[in-house]
Amino acid sequence: MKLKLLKFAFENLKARKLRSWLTIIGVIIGIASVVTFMLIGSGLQSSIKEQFEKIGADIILIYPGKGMTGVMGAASADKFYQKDVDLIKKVRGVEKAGGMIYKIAKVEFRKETEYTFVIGMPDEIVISDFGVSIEHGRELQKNDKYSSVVGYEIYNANFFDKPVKVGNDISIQGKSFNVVGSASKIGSRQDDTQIYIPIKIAKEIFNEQGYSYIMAKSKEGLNPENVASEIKEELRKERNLKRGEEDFTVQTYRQLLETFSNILGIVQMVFIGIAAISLIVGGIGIMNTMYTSVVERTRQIGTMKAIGAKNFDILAIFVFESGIIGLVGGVIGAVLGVLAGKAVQFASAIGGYELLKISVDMNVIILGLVFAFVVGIISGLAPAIQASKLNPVQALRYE
Amino acid sequence: MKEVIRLENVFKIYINGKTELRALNGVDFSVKEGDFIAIMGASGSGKSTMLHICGLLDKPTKGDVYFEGIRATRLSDSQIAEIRNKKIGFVFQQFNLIPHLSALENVYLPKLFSGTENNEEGEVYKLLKSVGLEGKENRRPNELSGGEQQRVAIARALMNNPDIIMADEPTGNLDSKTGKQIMEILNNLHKNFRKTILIVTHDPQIAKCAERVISIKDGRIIKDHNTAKTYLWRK
Repeated sequence: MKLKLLKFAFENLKARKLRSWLTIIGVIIGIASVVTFMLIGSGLQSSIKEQFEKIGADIILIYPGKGMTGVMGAASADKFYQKDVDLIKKVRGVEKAGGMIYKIAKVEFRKETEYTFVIGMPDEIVISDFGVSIEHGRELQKNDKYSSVVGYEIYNANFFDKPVKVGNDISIQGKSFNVVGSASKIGSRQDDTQIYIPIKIAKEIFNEQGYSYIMAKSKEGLNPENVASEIKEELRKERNLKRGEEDFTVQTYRQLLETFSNILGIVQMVFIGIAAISLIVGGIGIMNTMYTSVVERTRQIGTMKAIGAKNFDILAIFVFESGIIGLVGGVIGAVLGVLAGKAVQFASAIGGYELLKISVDMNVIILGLVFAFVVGIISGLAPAIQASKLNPVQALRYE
Repeated sequence: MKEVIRLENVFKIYINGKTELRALNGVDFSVKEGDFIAIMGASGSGKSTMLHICGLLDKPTKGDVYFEGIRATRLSDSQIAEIRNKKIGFVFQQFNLIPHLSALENVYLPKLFSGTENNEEGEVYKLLKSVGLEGKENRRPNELSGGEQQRVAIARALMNNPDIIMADEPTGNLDSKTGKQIMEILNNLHKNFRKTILIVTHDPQIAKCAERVISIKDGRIIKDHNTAKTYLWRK
């Protein structure tokens, strides 16, 4: 291989600095966005995995509606009643189950008013079942009435101006509650500003008869997914519904996270797809510059052929040029992509979502670089072939 | 003397729409080792086409070209490129230097394509010195005068030490004094280094340097004089 052709290609790019850099910028944008979205995607995936490892695998959620909409719809719909809970409790393999209420409430503390999610906790379920430990104070207990456990951010003065300590009183929907404990950090703002109160009182203050969703725990040693399908079967029979027409969803925590993860994967693919389009645009930019360059340098190509350049040499020079553009764009783009990913992590942490951690995945970086180089080569190939096939005499005559 | 190039009944026909242009119309011609030949003719006579075909830069539409006894019309593009690289040096009217490369790098270019490169910078310096460009090795073409640029082009043509130099109106863009200096360099290459030289020109003063003058008109050789002096004398 005539390696000096590489240096020559480099000199050619240097000779048209501005245009080369403008083309490189196109590649930078493409690669940077691909790398950013890939890193954010894998960061989110691993934060979901981390969540899953925290929360017990034996938790089963039963919520109204079908699929994912149910989780969100749980806050408004109340399709479950005590009879459903009792039914689930009797299902084989279920250790315990309880109906829960999940609603937005008006919360006041020392004349400050905020709105946040309040969870009505059944006697059967404790906060530590979610994988969240109690940092200060204690769990809610069976005989508690107007008692509450507050989320991490509330306790640490990131919700109200002043910290809400164990022993303080807060007002929820106009009723005064004594704070008996605080939860450990979960990592997302919404989860860390929740308030847990006993279910009986929740029913009372929200004037609810039913539950937003039901949480069950499978017995140790059993496969939670089997228990979940057992629950689904019983509930379906009881409601006289045909298979596949259930108006509720039963999922283990694992399945729930898998669903999240799958949706996230789709969203990620869409974003990477959009980013890939910008990379294609970058590639078209390379092709455009290279075609322009071939036309401009027609006489030079003729001269090089006259002094003995083979068609392959000319091809190599032009492919090297576009390859260098791709690679330089790839290197800078990858660096910027990592920085952008870190910036997103930083911004989301400020926003209260600390679960997202961007780790610099070398595979993603290498993939980005290879991708950039390949885009450079492919985009440069057609112009390079055109250059290599020029007739030397016609090229020399070109004005 | 050994025959280096032979054209046998060569035609070069360009078809432009419905009109047919016969740039070469049945040319038989041969170049022997050590020849200094001027090809003369008016513009459009086919003289440049003839040089291009002799230099294996262009292929005839019909007829055969032999280079050192090998039928070049049968060779592949890359074999022909190899011959151009090692055996022929080209000099053009427009100099055709690469503008963003220094004199040094321009001269080195044929080595770049020969694949047998080892660091021969010393060789390049020597070549530039031999054409009178000592001290200007790192200048770019736009920092050199026309005459100097043509000297760089000649040095480039000599880089792979070819046997044949082909020059297409090498003085066409130069004033007569500079042109004369360029011709002196070519003359010197012929006399002292036994290079075979083919030069295309329409200037009788330039042709005077040659030992053999070919006149070409409408794609045919109309006169083949063995010595330039006779030709000029008759004229």
